[in-house]
Amino acid sequence: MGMKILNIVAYPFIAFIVGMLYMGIARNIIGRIHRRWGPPVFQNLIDVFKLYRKREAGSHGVMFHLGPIIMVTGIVSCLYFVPLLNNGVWLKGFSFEGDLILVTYLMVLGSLGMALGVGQGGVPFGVMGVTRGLTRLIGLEIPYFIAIIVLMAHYNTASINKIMELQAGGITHWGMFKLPLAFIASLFSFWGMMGASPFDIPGAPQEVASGPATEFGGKYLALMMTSRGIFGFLKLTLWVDLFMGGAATILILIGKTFLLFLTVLFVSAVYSRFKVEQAVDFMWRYPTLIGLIALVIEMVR
Amino acid sequence: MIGPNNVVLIPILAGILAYFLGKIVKPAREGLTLASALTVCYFVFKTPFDKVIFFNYNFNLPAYFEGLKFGTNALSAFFAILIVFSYLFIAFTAFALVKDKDYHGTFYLFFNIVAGSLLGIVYARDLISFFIFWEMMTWSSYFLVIMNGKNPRKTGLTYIVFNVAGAYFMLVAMLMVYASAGSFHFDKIGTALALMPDSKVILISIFFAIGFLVKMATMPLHVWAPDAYTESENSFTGFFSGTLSKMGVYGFLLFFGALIGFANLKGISSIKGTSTLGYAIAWLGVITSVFATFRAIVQDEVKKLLAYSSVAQVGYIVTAMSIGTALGVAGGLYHAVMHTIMKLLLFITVAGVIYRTGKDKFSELGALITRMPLSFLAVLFGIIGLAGMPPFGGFASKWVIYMSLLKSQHYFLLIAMIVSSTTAFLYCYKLIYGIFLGHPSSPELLEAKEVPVFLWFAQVPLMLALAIFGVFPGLIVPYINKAVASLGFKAAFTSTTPYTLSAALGGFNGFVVINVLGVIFVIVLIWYTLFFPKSKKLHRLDIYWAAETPTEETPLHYGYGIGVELHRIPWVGASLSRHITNFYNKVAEQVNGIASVVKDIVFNGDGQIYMLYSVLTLVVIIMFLGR
Repeated sequence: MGMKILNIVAYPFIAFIVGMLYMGIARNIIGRIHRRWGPPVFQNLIDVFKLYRKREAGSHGVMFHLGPIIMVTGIVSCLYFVPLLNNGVWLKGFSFEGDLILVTYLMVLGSLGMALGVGQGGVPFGVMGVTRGLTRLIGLEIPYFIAIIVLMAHYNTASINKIMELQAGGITHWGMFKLPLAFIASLFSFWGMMGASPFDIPGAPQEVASGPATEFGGKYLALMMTSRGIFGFLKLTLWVDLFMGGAATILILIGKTFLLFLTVLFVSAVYSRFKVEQAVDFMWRYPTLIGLIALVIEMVR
Repeated sequence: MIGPNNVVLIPILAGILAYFLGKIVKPAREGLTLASALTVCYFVFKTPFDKVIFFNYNFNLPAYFEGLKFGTNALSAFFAILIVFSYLFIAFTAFALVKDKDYHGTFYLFFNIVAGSLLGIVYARDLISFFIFWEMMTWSSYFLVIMNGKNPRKTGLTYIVFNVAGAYFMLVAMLMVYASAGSFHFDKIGTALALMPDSKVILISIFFAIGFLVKMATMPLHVWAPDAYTESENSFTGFFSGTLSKMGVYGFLLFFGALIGFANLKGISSIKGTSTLGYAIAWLGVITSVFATFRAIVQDEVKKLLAYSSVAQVGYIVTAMSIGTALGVAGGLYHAVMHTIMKLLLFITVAGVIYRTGKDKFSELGALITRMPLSFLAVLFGIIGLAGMPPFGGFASKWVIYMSLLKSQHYFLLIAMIVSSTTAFLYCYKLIYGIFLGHPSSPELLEAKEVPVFLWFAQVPLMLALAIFGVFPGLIVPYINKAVASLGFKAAFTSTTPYTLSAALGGFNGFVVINVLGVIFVIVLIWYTLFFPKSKKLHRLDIYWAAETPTEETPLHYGYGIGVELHRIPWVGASLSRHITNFYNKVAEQVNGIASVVKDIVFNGDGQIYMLYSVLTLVVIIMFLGR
């Protein structure tokens, strides 16, 4: 019982620390690509703690106050349904009580709560950001869903734990090598969901003043940054679980997620932003086509 | 005893009585409607759910006239429960919203008749009674569509033309069935249909399908729906889109499930384990949901957005049912229940908002959250359901549909459904933002009152229902299993705990989901409220506005703006710029042209010509009688 509680409590903290550190590393690496020194690796963590210490924050009403809270609720809840390790009972959360489709929908719940807060904030830029985000989602979800349909059809289960189990036994059993086309298709969605550069449409500072985050400051911004860190790690872990065979220990998990995170960085360092309709159009063309080929191969098999 | 045989008469009589008695004592209308709704509820719940009961009416007619037959089974009972609940909730809504209208009496007359005819449809056990009540539903709802309309002539005409045409296709099919079976009774038709030649079965199926698809507003037969839903009396629209459209679902399941049998149709020709006809209809359903979803997003009228969303959501049901597997039908039934709850809740709330503000466009509303917190919550519950998100019932029903498509390996249908399902987030957000968040489009919105108390009686139970089905997604499973079993399938779900839903490839535990969400929410809320300094309350104009200061006149509400990007996405933009109504208008023009030519020749207003017609008719009659 004690172990179980420790397990549950450890979940969001691991995700938070690792996620924030990744963001710091990202700023460093992108700095180097741009030929400058980035900030220290711990900069994002420092920023969050600084924001939590702020004495003042403006609020526009109840929903504005609840928005970031719902966001972090949705994201942490979703995290609990994604197993971190494929080994024994450690860090499994509630992953036996839900399946991949539940996780997919829970991933959006937090953003919807946030969108309500943004709505009451009353900045048209914020709402524009939300609308852009939701429109972008139309593009992103299609290759993602095609990829997980291929995955679920291939392994004949929707349970993340089972998908992970079936990939055990060496690198050749991993989803990314068994179903390479599906993995590639899903990777495009993944970059989009991580907010990597060609797809960083909702929060474009130059156009919509940081979008959804515009009106939030102090403790609200702190909570948003926290959930963003957790969310990043959640998505990385999900992809590792689905396509890279999961991880037996925390160190392996960090290694695998970091590899995946590097792909995000390299893409986002060199590409400039799409317009929202270009992003949807792009997503519906190449990644979807790749995914559909994977699906046809899977159906013929 | 009152049972499935004559429970139908209660609302119809109540309606007629309410009309006349109400001329003397006005509140009698409300009283009689409530009494009738409660009575009907009582009897529907008293009837055992999956018991098969029959009643025959022969009216002492000659033997070759079979008489009418009524009865109930699990499928009928399933839909009857939906009907009586909606009847009660809409009655409450109408009490508050219709009382000052000049069509007060007519509303209650036709509303009660509609409710009665719906019960008649689900309890009919022969095609004649089925058709009588079907027509009764169409005609009585027609009056409810036109009584409040801004453009009653066009809307009413489109509504009646499509629905009557659908009904006549059905009538032709019924007569074809009678010609072979020699009976209208459901129990005799099934065996006769099994012996019929394949081509005839297909033709009959297509004709029946047209009738039902019109009611479910599936493309390309949906043209009547958005306008009719938008323009019908506000308090009735929930019933119209939530419950009336489900009669198409019932008819579809009755004919394809109980009478002809999915297996029989599959035997004729099949694609991937689904009958070819079913597969075609499944694609129609999913195409409907994709296009209707895009169109919903760009609407400015609140009710029209909901109307298109309704068309889209029923599209999912059509697809799930047409697959013709136990799980598919179960998903269709589950989503039918959820969609009824969601659309009742949303349309009732929107009716209340329109009643209080007098505005029905997103560009005229906004910032009502502080004035109408309960309605905000109601719409929030509704959109979480519509978007199919956990922890509410909408997720469970969508999950079943996804699983059914995955299990029967209809992956392309599933992908198309995902397109629509993801796009739905946009209109969900537009719905809640446009009405309740952002800035008020006019100052008087800041003085609006919460919706009338009578509406709370409908809103609160419906919200609870959505939440309960989310926490206990398995609660409804025994009933769905029985309804599915009455169509000759094995039970769709094997697990029976109320907390979990599991089928095919996976499962989830709604109870755990809501607990995780709830516990984290409470922890964060307490931590945030107690351990941080209180936030400073800002005026709504204290916002970031590019180093300027917005004034009261600055247009800050983004209500109509949501969805304009869609026009710029290549394929979507093209689809939005075209409209199938144009095609029908072209057809109508041509028909008008031909008709005017015919009119000039045949009905030219010359008395002698008309006399000639009557003489000719007489001659023809005599010729035939002489044989």
